[in-house]
Amino acid sequence: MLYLIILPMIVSMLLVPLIGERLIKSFKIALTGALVSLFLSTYYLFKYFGNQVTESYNWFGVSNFFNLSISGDNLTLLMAVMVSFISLMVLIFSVFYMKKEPQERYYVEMSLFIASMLGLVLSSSLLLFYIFWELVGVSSYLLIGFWYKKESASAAGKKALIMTRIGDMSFLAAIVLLFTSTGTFSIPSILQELPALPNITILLSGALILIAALSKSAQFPFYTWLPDAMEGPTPVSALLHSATMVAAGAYLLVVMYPLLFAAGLNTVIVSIGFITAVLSALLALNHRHTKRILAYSTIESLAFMFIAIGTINTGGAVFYLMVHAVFKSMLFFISGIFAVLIGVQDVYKLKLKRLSSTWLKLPALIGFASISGLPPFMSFFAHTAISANFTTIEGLVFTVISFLTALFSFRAFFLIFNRKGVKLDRKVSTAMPIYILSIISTIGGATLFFFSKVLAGFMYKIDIFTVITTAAAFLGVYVAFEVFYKDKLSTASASFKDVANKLMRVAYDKILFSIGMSFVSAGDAVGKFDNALSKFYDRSADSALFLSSKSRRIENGNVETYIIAILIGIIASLVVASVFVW
Amino acid sequence: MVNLLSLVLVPALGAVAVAINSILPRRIKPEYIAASAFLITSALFFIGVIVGFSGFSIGIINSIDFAFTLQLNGISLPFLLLAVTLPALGLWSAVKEINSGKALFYIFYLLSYASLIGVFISSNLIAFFIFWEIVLISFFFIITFWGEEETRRKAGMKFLIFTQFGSLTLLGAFILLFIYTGSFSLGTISSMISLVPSYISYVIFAFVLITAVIKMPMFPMHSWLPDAHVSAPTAGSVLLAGVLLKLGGYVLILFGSILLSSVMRSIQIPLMLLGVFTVIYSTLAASSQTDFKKMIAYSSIFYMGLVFIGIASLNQIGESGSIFLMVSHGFIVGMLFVLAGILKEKTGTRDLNRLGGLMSKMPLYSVFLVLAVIATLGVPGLSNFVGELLVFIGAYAAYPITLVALAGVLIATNYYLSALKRILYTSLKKTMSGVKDISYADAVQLSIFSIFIIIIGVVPIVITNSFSLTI
Repeated sequence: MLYLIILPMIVSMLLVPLIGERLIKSFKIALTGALVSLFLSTYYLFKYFGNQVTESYNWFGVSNFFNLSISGDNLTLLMAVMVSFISLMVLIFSVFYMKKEPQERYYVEMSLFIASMLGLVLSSSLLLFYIFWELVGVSSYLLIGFWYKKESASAAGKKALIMTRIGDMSFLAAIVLLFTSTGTFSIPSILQELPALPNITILLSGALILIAALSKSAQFPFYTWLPDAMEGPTPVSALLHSATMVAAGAYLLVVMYPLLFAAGLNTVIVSIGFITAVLSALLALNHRHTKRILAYSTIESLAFMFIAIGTINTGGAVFYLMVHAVFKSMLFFISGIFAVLIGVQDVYKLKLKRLSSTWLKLPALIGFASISGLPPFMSFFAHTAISANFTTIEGLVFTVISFLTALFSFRAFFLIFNRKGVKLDRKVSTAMPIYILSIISTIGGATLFFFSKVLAGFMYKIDIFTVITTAAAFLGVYVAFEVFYKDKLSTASASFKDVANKLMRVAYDKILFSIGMSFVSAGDAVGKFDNALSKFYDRSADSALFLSSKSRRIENGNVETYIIAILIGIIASLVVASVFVW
Repeated sequence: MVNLLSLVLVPALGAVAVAINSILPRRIKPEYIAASAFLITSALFFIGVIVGFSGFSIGIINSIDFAFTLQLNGISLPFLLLAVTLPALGLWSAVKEINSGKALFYIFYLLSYASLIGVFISSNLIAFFIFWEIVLISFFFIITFWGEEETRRKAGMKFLIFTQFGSLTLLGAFILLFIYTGSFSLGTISSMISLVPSYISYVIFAFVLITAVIKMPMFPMHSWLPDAHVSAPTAGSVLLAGVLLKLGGYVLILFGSILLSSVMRSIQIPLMLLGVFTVIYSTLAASSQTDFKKMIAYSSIFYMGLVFIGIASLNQIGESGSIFLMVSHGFIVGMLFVLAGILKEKTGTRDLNRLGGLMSKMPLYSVFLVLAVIATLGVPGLSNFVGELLVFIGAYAAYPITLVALAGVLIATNYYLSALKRILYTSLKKTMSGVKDISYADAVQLSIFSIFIIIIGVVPIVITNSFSLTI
């Protein structure tokens, strides 16, 4: 009966257009759906706590059965609780934020988005996982391009879907590979049969799955779609960056990690994670738009998860995923409030507004401190979890990253908020989710000990390295305070920005652009060739038409000619026939 | 039990009724006659699916080898679904578009309907071939008389020359089969196929292959298809892409992979490579198109390429996948052509460069267009996904390199999303300010397409259980 968790959102997706906005407000339906999902996933979490229950359904059979199965255990149900909880918060926030937008379209697409993510975390068959994986991608495409009249929004939606589809296709290839060699889609069975598989299959399918995860989670070299995805409405970003979509990639690796280890890809995962983390921290430092800064910070946080998975600490990665979902969605809510109440999201323009509402400032402080992993917030504990298995070198790199992270996050904080200044109005439906999430981010640290018991492969470590990285983070906060709040060293920061700008974004985007253009020109070339081919064949049609125009003279309606022609025909066929008979 | 003859007879009688009606002093509209023929045939078909079909046989000489026999073979049913429903669904587009020579049009339309159904159920090769020819000839007239003014004559002639050549080779194959087995009956032929000497079976397969390559179509014989589509009226395009192309796949499965599988297996790898090449080639060619209809035409070459790969994989999963993909693609491409027709009707153009921002003017149309495009890209829950999945599994098992064709899906994603963006999104073009949304009838027509696409996608057993790979 685990599918009951997914069902409410599917029902909501169907009911919203059927009932119509006039009869029952769409948001009420969607909110009820999310609430029921949250309730049910919590219920099943308690019911199946510590057990594993798998429910299998036969979809269809062609020489082999195509099974769809979902399973309830600590990991999947905790994820389901988290997804439905964050979705509920996002939907509450949407009530106010999306008031003036087309309601039905928004809530249908959101319901599909949430339902597919819930399905994804519960799936224990690769086929079902892939089905929801694709649906997550498509619904995010629709939502990112929600404001379709904006050129940038529709371009961003398209970019997101094409970039993630690279991963989808590679995921599909991996599924085909694994299914052909094991004859099953069930993830536990596939992982069990790993030792019996040939090395090349393991390596190939592992690499393909890694590509899928990288593209979905916006890691290097696929990361560019995520910052552009900010063109969607802010609640969409809040959901897409925290509980759904990007989290799916990391979750895939968590589920399939034995395959990736068997393929020997952990070092690759760790290296890509570190590259992405450094890159995204530098890029976040470089950007002015709040949502873009948050987007790069999401990329960085996902890189942390990848590093944790690569260092054989999947439980830590899951814990960080959940913690990150909480504080990142809250930060997006805050940036959404800027967009609605002030109309600007550029940090330097916000600085001129001299904001100082405590009801926003405090949660924002909690959020940015969480990005930096400062104690005593929940994120600090998550950082001790992801860094538990680090070697010395990894620890050192992580220290540098911690410094950069604190620097870019508190740069944003100090630029946006002032000690004294303008106060903003507060609305319950917007403030409530922010409060709830910030309270969890503050006091949730204690859950570390709970999670370390219930999640498989969970490690955490508080030692001298923790102290060093935390000190580096505090140093980052101090530097940010000096440079961006007090405006010292502004020339230095400006020149740094130039360098980062030139190095990262421009060059990389050019490369991607030229790859895209090469496909376009290949398409044009083939199109031209095909036209020429078609012209060549056209001659056949031309000559037929020419012949028919000449031979038309024969059909002149003259009965005598016809009779003569018929006679000639009969004689000719008689002659031919007699030749054959003899 | 529903007699199979009724499925052919009802539309044929409809054609006769339209003809008689046109010379009567007091006429009823030919649309009504056609619509009732379509309704009765579809009803008979769906009743038959539930209660079962009975065969029909009438001997000319007292021998089964020459008897005109209508009988379901193992793979008939999914194709019959396409042949029965798609032309009926296209009728509404015809009603809107065809203004001159109505009676004649519906005669040809009903004739091609009857004979399309006939092709899929006749188990006598002579009847098979006659039906096959009637389809082509009526379709030639549909393009040449009711197509778009500038291109229709040339496109019709090109269509005729290509497909007649394909018919000729098919006839050659049939004659050779008759010479060596002494029968035109499909059942007899399949039981006596071992009598055919091996070099002759290669010749027969070569003939069938040429027919399939022209008909599906595959590179380099595809060039008639985009022209035919661009020139044909919408109903014609639905018929052409939805059912006519599937004739090629049907013939290849029936006479290639079932009847002559050993021959096909010996040249399997070149065939699969041809399929992969066609897939990549057609997606690249589609990327450069600016006419929406032509883009859909190239993309249907792409899907038939996938079908070809699936058939050439010669294992059960791949073959089933290609049958599934043909059914699914029939509905999706039919829907896309209807949508392209509406686009032309409402805005006066299909040129992607001249469209833009229509979503604000045509919200309902946008829902259907987005659904159709997502379905064609193989998103799960919609019908193409299962077909693609099966084809790729089957093809990988046969020849791993074929997974390269996945790149084709990626390129298809790119051009279809670009088309969506250029038609629906961004700001509204000034010339488009007077555009109205689709009518109620259009919405019903498109909804039926969508329902088929969703049902087949969510409950694939309706297709996978409807056939077995036997004659």
